[in-house]
Parts: sequence; structure tokens; C-alpha cells
Amino acid sequence: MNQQAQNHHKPRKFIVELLRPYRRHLLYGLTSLIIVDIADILPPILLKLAIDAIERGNEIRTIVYCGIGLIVTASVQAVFRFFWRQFFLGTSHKSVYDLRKSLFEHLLKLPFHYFSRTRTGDIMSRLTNDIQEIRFMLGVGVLVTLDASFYFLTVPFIMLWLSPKLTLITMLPFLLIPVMVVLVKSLIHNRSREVQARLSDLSSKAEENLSGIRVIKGFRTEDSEINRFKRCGLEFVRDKIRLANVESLFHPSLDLVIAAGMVVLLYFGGSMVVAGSITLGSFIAFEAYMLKISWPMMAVGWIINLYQRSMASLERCLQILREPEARSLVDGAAETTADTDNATAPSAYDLEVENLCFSYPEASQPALKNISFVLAEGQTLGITGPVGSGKSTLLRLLMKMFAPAEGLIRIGGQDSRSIDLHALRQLFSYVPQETFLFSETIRENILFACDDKDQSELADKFATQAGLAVDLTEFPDRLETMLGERGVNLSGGQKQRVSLARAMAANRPILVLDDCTSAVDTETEQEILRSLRRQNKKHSCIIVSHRMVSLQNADLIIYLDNGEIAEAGSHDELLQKSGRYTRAWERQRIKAQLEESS
Amino acid sequence: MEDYFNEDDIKAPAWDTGLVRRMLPYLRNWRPHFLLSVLLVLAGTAIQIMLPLLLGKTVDLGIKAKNHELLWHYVLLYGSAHLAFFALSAARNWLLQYTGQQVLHELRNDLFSHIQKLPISFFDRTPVGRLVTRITNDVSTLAEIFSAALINVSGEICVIIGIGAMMLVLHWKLGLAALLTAPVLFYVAWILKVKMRDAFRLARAKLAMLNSSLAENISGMSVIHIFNQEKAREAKFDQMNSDLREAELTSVFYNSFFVPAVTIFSAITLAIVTTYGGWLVSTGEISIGLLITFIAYVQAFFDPVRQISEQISVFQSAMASAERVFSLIDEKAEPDLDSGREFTDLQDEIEFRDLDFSYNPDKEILKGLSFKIKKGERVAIVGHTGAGKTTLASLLKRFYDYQSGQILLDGIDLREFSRSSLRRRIGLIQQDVNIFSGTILDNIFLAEGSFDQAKLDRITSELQMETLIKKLPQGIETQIYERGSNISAGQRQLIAFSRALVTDPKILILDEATSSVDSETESIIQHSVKHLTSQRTSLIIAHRLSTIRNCNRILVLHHGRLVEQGTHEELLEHKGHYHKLYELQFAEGDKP
Repeated sequence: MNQQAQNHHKPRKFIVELLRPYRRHLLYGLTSLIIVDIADILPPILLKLAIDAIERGNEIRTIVYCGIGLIVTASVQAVFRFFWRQFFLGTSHKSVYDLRKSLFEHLLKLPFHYFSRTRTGDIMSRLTNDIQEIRFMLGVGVLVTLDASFYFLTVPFIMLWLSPKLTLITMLPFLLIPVMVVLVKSLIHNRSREVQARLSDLSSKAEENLSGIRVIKGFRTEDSEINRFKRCGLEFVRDKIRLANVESLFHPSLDLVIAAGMVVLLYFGGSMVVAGSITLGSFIAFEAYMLKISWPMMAVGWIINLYQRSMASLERCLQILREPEARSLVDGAAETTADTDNATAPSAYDLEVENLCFSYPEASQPALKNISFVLAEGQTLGITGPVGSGKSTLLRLLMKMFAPAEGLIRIGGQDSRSIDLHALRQLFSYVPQETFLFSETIRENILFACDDKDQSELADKFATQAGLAVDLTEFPDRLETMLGERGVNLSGGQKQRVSLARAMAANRPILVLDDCTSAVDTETEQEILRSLRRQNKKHSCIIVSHRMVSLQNADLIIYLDNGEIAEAGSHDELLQKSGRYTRAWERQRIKAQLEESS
Repeated sequence: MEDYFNEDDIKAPAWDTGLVRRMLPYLRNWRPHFLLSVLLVLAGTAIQIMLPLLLGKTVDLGIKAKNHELLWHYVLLYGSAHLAFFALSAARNWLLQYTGQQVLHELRNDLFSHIQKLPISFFDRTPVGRLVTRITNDVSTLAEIFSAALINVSGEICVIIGIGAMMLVLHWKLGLAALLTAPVLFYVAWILKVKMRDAFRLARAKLAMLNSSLAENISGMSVIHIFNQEKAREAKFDQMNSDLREAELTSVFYNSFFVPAVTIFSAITLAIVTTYGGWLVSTGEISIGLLITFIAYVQAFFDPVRQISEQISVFQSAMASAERVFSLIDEKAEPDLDSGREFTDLQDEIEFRDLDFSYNPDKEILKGLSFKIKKGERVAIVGHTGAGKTTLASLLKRFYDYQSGQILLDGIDLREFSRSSLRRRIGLIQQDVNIFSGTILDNIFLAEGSFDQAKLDRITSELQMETLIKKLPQGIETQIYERGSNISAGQRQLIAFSRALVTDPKILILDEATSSVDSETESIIQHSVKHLTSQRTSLIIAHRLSTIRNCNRILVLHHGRLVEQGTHEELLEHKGHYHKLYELQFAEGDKP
């Protein structure tokens, strides 16, 4: 589906593509629709026959036959109306399922870069509102279009057959309907956009007020705020009433146009019956057909609006599908060493970084400058430094979320650019700075990256290692406790530890901890790190932390500042230098004392 | 996330008398409008019922009797009835929209005013986004009740009852025959409706689940990528997606029964009316015109059934919104801000006596705090993060009430003074400045109508901000962009200082920001603080050495207790807690 989407940049072609798997259902649907519409067109004729028979008198048998005919046509109509909805509306749900599936599959393949520049809310609105709009078009939209077309192709001819003259006279006002619908709908659309704008003013006013509520209460200006809010509200009400002015007239005026047709029919048709040029039955049938043709007239305008809206929605969804997938470099930058085919996962995991430089797009300052270091397999690297010194950026480059502008990263002697993305990611297990857990059970979260997701003992083991044993006893369902909106909300520290357990359970050769224990107290953190060291003798470990004590046992510590390595060495070596590392260490020692002395 | 998962809407009942009763007071002011609307609805219905009757009369008296004059007469009548119907329904739609909006405007203002009166502790625990949703979306959803309930449902019910009654009056035997199937239809419609509603709710719930999982997957995409879990996530999503499809298909299945059911019943009724009526016409018991009237009635009788059934979900979400809005209105407001003694000026001293305070019972913030501040004194409060410094400021402004101990202003307990006067006379300057939309002037004179040129001149000269104002394109009338992006941090500071001066405060509390500021801002702050505090009793929650050195006295707080006090030099000599703080925070600019 994705490849198809790449080929079909045209929304219309894509619609055809979406519906293609269900063409047989649509054919059944179309057949049902024709049967339904035929059965719907017959009753006025039956009515005509019955009334004409009544008029002639003594033809009770014809009347009964007509009654039976009405019931038969209605039954046929009812049965096929059922299939009709089933086929058309069912297909729309199935197509939307496909669309949603291909969108999500595609999103999973998009680079990190895409998600950093696109807001979640924006993607979500495409996947919810826009999809809803498309489904409406594919289901009700297609159905109504076909239905209306059928009426246009049949009813006018029957009316012409009943009386050509009457048809021409009565249909004149009806031609106003589609014009009115299109014009008024766009007026309504414009005015509702204004209403939306006022509503968003109103909500920014409320938001501004509530964010500054401490200032407002502090200066005791609540009353002024209430007045200002009232004024915003009045503007909203004013525009809403402007919209109501049009909206409240819309449906009644459509009714009025139809009524105009009826009045014309009643007078001219009535006169024709009096003159004997048509029968009373034809007159009544004519009236019924006029009512039947009036709604497809309204539908024309409605379909035009729906079509425009849904095409815009489809276009927005196609924009996602057109985003290029992440290949070997996550940010989609040109591949310098293109030979990804013979790329194999490295067998050794020592890291070698040489002259690494990197700038974020549109940033004036480089984020990393000339970073070089070597980390042997199984060793621990500590990274520290002030906020914004490039610590997380370095990790991102190592894990190929971004491509370095200059310099080399070698893993097991192999250039990281030549390792394919999938294989490279098998090397790292990551505990991000901002903990992200899914609204699933704790067990599912811990075993997130394990192939066997049912091993409770395993989850238990990692939970214990991450220092969660005591916390788990607080929850009645222990590992099966649901997290997130519909479950328990963990504290910051608990979340970080679940995230840690998840990384440990992934069991990858290089463990990356990105300042992930900030919400865990120092003692617990030390305990976790000790157990990590016991467990991961063979694994390399990269720890980013502001807490120097967490790093003191690392084989190599890098102090980053402004994207450069300010100092590097082991804890003892760095202390000997009495440089910035030492000062920071001292400061944290004092701070620890301050916290204790109470 | 709230937007994607709104379970209340799905579970809410379609009607809740308690909630509706609570809305009644808002309708009271608009009683004539509603009464008129109801009259318009009734009149419209009457015309709707009249029309088939006119049609029948036209046929009988005009067409059948071949009376051209009467035909013309009735056509005119028929046309004017339609015109009247047009006018009535347009007026009814407009009036209900208008009244509905006015009622909602009042409700929204009440809600907003009520929120303004809630205590600070409420805002501590409630996210801003949720409150905004209550004020805007939930109130708008309530509007649906007016259009859905009053326009559609009541009108449709009137039509059903009116037509039924009319048929019985016109010819009770034929009428009874026509209404024969109605009870069965209503029963079937009810049963189907329950099925449809359940299926619809299930589909809605599945959709909400899918959407919230989708939002989660998108925000956690980097975690999925790094752990190579694309396949597993895809499978999980596919499961939810196909669950949703199945639920939707079930919903379509039950929905597909409804229209055919109405079709069959209306056809059966039409057949009965045509045959039985036809027989009655042939026996001469009724006229052909009356039969035509009946046929038109039958056709108009079944549509409202469908219309009504479609309004149920609208009622549900309106009830859910009403529930949320009223539960917010039920939140307890702060006691009357103006009650109590008026605080005008400090004569002698502020005293904190054995003060205990905690935001929630499990964590004490201030413990047995005692100290005095003399009138005109400039006191700095220092301490490590979480020592309780900012809490002191909030207590003085009576944002919270303390549990035990006392704060005394000239020997009178703070709680005896009105919140209003304390908040006006005790100026709090925070360095994270909230900028509101509007001009600089609006941001200085926050209260409406409080502008005073003399005061502005005094403030301008006291803070020496003439040059800064001149730098701005429209001077003091310059419009500030959202979040103050077109003014500098220093200008923002000046706004905060000026704001505080507008209320002519007798006591100043300055809460310095911990974050570093640029040199321009730094010099503005230094200058202004020095100047402002030289004439007023001031309490400075200090982080900057420059500020602290200028103070008469320094109080050192630690874990809610006063551990040391004295001048900078005395405290440094003492080599205690302050000394450590000094080493930590002021010895070097290099922050960890």
C-alpha cells in the first residue's frame, strides 16, 4: 500500500486504489441500490392506479392489488435497503481500516527527524478528523451520489411521461435548490470559521488568565478579568448570532422553494385535472415525484461540499504517506557510504569516536565539536557537563538518530554508517531522559523489547534489578498493574525505574542511560548502578548524568562544555587536574551535606 | 490526551433530571423568549398538520367540484400557509439559537467568575488545559441541548401527536386503521435503538482506545525505533484497528435494520389506508380529498420517528458536559475577599510566631518559624531549594492559610485582615513575569480603569524607564506579542516592578529567579531593587549576592526552619549553613 501511495500522488487515484479490494461489494451495493430505487419509484404509480380506480368506482379489486403492490415494493425495498447500507457503509469502514493501517505502518518507518519537526497533535488530527471525513465520503458520500444520480436519470422522465407541460412548469423553482445550497453553504462555512476564530480567542483569553491566575489574584484584579472575558464572550455570541441569521433561514427557505413548486403544481395541475387533460391519480403521483426529486436536488450541494472537504482531508493523509521512509540514516540525509547491502552487524562492540562534529539544522552554533574517544567493549563511559553542552546529542549520533556532519563512529572497527539501521539498533538499549511508558501493564512495559512477552519471572527479575521490588508490593496487581490514563500513575522515580528495567530486559550489548535517574534518590540510584555492574560485566555502558557520584566508577568520564570535551579521564585522574570536574564535584559534595544536615 | 479519550460521553445517560434542573435558573431570565419559542414550535406544527387538510380540500372543492374560483382560493391559502410556515420556522430556529447563546453566555461567565474565586490550592492541582476545555468546549456542547432538544425533538413529538389526533378526529375508523401499526413500529424502533446505541457506544469506545493508543505510539516513536519494536507495535495496532472495524460493522448491521423497518411500516400503513380508504370512498363514506389528506398524513408520520432517534447521542454528550461543568461550579470558592479588617499601612513590625504550614498533611513545609521584620527594614531570605522561601510570600498574601502559629502585622493576626487589602498592599514581584495580551500599559495597570497618568509618571521616574520606553516602536502603547516575544527580559522585569507599584504597596516581597539573566536585566534588577526597597519594608527571597549584600539582615531557612540570621559578614564568619550556601551558589558561575 505504501509503495502504491508513492506512485499515486493524486488523491482521486488513491480513492480508486482504496476501494479496489472491495469492488465486488460495491457492485453488490450498486445492484441493491438500483433495486431499492426502482422499488421506491413504483409506489406513486401504484397510488395513481388506485386513485384512478377509486375515481372510476366499483374497481375494488384493482385497489386491493395496488395495496398488495405497495406492500411488495416496500418489502423488496426494505430487504435491499438493508444490503445497500451493509455494502456501502461496511466498505467504508473496511477501506478506512486499510487506510489507517497503511498510515500507521508508514509512520513507523519515518525518521526521528519527522517526529521532531511535526507536532503530535497535527499527526493525530490527520489520523482522526481527516480519516473520519474520508470515511464519510467513501460511505455515505458514494451512496448518496449514486442514489441521487439514479433519481436524476429516472424521475424527470416519469414526470415527463405523466405530463410534459406540468413538468416544465413545476421544475423551474426546483433549479434554485442546488444553487442555493452551494451558495448558502459557503456563506455558512465562512461565518462558522469566524465563530471558530472567536471561540479560539475565548479559549486563549481563558488560558492566559488561568496561567497567570497567581498574578491576577496577587493584584486582586479578578473583576477586571471577568469583564474582559465577558467582552470576549459577547463577541463570540455576536458572531454566533450572525451565523444563526443565515443558518436559521437555510432549511426553511429550501422548504419554501419546494412549496413554491407545490403551489404551482396545485394550481396548474389542478386546472389540468379540471380540464380533464390529466387524471386525479396522475396529479397525486406527480406530487409524490416532486417530493422525491427535491431531496437529490439538495444532495447535490451537500455532495459538492463533502467532496471538497474530504479531498482536502485525503490530501493531508497522503502528505504523510509521501514522507520518505528512513533508510540507513534516520534524518534522511544523503548516504555517504551507500553499500548497505553487505552491511552486517558488528561482532565486537568497542566504540571509537573520531573528530565528531554536528550542528542541528537551522542552529547557529554547532552542537558538537571535535569529539574523540575510545571505549573498549565491556567498559563504562560517563558523560557529564552543564545543560545544553551536547550530552544527549552525542548519544543521538551514536545511535544514528542523526548523521554526523564530520568525523567517524566505529563500532567493533566497523564504520557506523555502513551498519544498517536495524542491525545498529540491535546493539543499543536506551533509557531516555524523558521517560516514556505505554499505557499497558508493567510487565508488558518491561518486556517491551523481549521476544517472549509472557515470561513473568523474567519481568520480575528485571523489576527487582531496577529497584522496583518494594514499589510493586504497593500495587495489588503487581506486574499486571495497568499504567497511564486508565491505570495507576507512577511517580517520576518509579517510571524511570520501569524504563530502566525495560532497557535491561532488552539485553543488548551497549546500555545507554541518558540522565535517567534524576527522580530517583541517590541511595536507590547507587544500588541500581551496583546491580547493573554485577549484571552487565560483559556489556558496555554509557551513562549521562548530572550526579557526579553516579559516574565515579566509570572507566572514562568526559566533561562536555559547549559541545567540546573540556576534560576527560577517570574519576581520580580528573580530580587530580583540579579543573571544572573537580569544582563541580566539590559543589555537589557541599550540596549533599546541605541536604543531610537537618 | 483528554481529547482523544472521553469516556464520559459514552457512558453518560441521555437525560438526567438533576442536571437539567440545575440549568433551569439560567433559563429563568429568558423565560419570555423560551415561551415565545414554544409558541412558535406549536404554531409551526399546527400549520404542518393543516397543510394535508388544505390539500384534500383543494382536491374536493376545487378540482373535483370543477370550481376554478375555489381552486384559486385554496391554492392561495395553501401558498400562504407555506409562507407562514417558512416565517415561523425561521423565527423559531433563530430565536432558539439566540436565546441558547445568551443563556450559555451567562453560564460561561458564571463559570469563569467562579473559577476566578477559587483558591490557589485548586489551581495547584488542576491543569490549565482542563479548565479551558470546561469553559469553551463543554459549554458549547451544552448548546446542542437547545438546538437538539428544543428545536428538533419537541417539534417532532408535536408532529407525531398532532397527526395522530387529527386522523382520529377526521375519521376515527380510518384513523384507527392508519395508527394500527404505529405502536408496533414504536416498539421495534425502541428495541433497535437500544441495540444500535450499544453497538454505537462500543464502536466509540474502540475508536477512543485506538486514538489514544495512536497518540501514545506517535509520542513514543523514538522508543519504538530504538528498541526495534515496529513489528510488535504494528501487530498491536492492527489488533485494535480490526477490533474497531468489527465494532463499526456491528453498528452498521443494526443501523441497517432501522430504515428498512420504518419503510415497511409506512408501506403497510399506506396500503391499509389506500385499500380501506378506497373502499370508503367508493361507498361514499368519505371524499377522495380526505383520502388524499390521509395519504399525506401517513407519509409525514414516519419521518419524525427517525429524526428523534438520531438525537439521543447529542443528549448524551450534552449531559456529560453538564456534569463536568456543574462539578466545577461545585468547587468551593475562596471566602469573601473583602471581609475583614482593611490593611492600610504597616506602623511597626511584621512578626512570624511559631508558624507551621504544610500544603498537604504528609509534608511539613514550615516548622515553628519565628522572626520579626521592622518597618522599613530590608530582609533577605536565603536557603536551599525547598526550604520554604516562596511559601512565606504566599502566606503573607493569604493565598493559603497557615495551620498553627501566627503572622502578626503590628500585633494583629494576618487572618483578621481582608484578603483584598492584603493582596493590594503587599506587593509581590516575581521574576517569571506573566505577560498578558495587550499593550505595555495594559500590563502595568492590570485592573480596568485603574490608569492614572500621575502614577505612571511617578513609576516611570522611580524606575528610570524613560529610555527603555522610548526604544519601543509605540512607546508605552506598544502591543506585546503572545508570551512577550517582542520585548526583552529587562523590559519584562520592569513591567513586573511597575505593576507592583501601581497598587502602592506598603510591604514588598521580591522573589528572585534562580535562573541566570543577561547583564542588561541584571543591572536593571539591581538598580530597581535597590531603589524600590530603600523606602519600603521589604522581604527579598534572594539568590543574587548583590541583592543580599544590600540587605539589613539575612534569614537562612533550611527545611522550613530558621537556622541562622545576621548580616552577610557575620554569617560568613560563623561558617555555618550560610557559608555552605555561599560556597555553593556564589563562589562560581559554572552551574552543574
